[in-house]
Amino acid sequence: MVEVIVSLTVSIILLTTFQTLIIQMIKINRSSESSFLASVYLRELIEVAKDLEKSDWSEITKAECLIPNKCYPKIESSEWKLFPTTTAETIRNNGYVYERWLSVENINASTSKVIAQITWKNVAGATSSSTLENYIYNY
Amino acid sequence: MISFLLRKKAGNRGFTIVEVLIAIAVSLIIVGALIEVTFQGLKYIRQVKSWERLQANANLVMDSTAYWVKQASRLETTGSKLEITLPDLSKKTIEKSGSRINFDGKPFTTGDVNVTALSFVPLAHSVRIAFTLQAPDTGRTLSVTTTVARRNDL
Repeated sequence: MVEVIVSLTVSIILLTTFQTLIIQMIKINRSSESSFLASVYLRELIEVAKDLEKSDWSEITKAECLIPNKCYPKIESSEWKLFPTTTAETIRNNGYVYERWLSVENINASTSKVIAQITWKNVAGATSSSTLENYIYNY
Repeated sequence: MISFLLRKKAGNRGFTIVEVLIAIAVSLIIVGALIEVTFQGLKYIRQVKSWERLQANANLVMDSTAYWVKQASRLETTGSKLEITLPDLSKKTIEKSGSRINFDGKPFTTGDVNVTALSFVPLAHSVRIAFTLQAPDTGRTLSVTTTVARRNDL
């Protein structure tokens, strides 16, 4: 009887340990996936700002996008345009929902700071966020 | 008959048939659960490995494209082909060929990942890149859409 109980206990411990490892592995993998895509979408906001820095300075520094206002980018007639938003742009990919926006802070007449932010819900349902800042110059 | 199966003879330290049957049933359940958990574990390990391959290839495509686009003086696109003209007028091309992405005619993505879509959209001072990678062994896909702006004023 004792041998049976010991072998059962050992088997259950092994099963539980292995299952916990697998669940943790899945969680880490899902978290890595959502963080990777969030990083891609966040960096794109800075690239949009770098495009507008050269192609349309007035678009990136317009009042609707100045802090504390928020804007989201959209392509219109093969050009990036910024649109004011009270919330954020929503992107869905692989079951994740990302919300991103950018704001601009004028430093001086020819320099502005672009603040890009993205938020998304991680595997546990908690909200993660990431921010990037970059300077653009009107020269 | 049943009492015979359950009864132990005096001084007999062996197991009854019922005890043996219960032990076999419990063992089968445990072995079945172990097999199930092991197969699930192996399946997820394959999924994680395929994700690593997809992510590595996606990073390679994005980083290399960004490296050349940032230096470009001119960008031309035709569907899934991007032609980058550099300041010395030399050209670099990135295009989809079969299930791979080629850079200057040479395979760029690894053979264990299929490229199912690649497109470029030229914009005022940037290019929008969209591609989908698929791991053939697990069927897992990764779709990426991003933008890279040119950094020079030429």
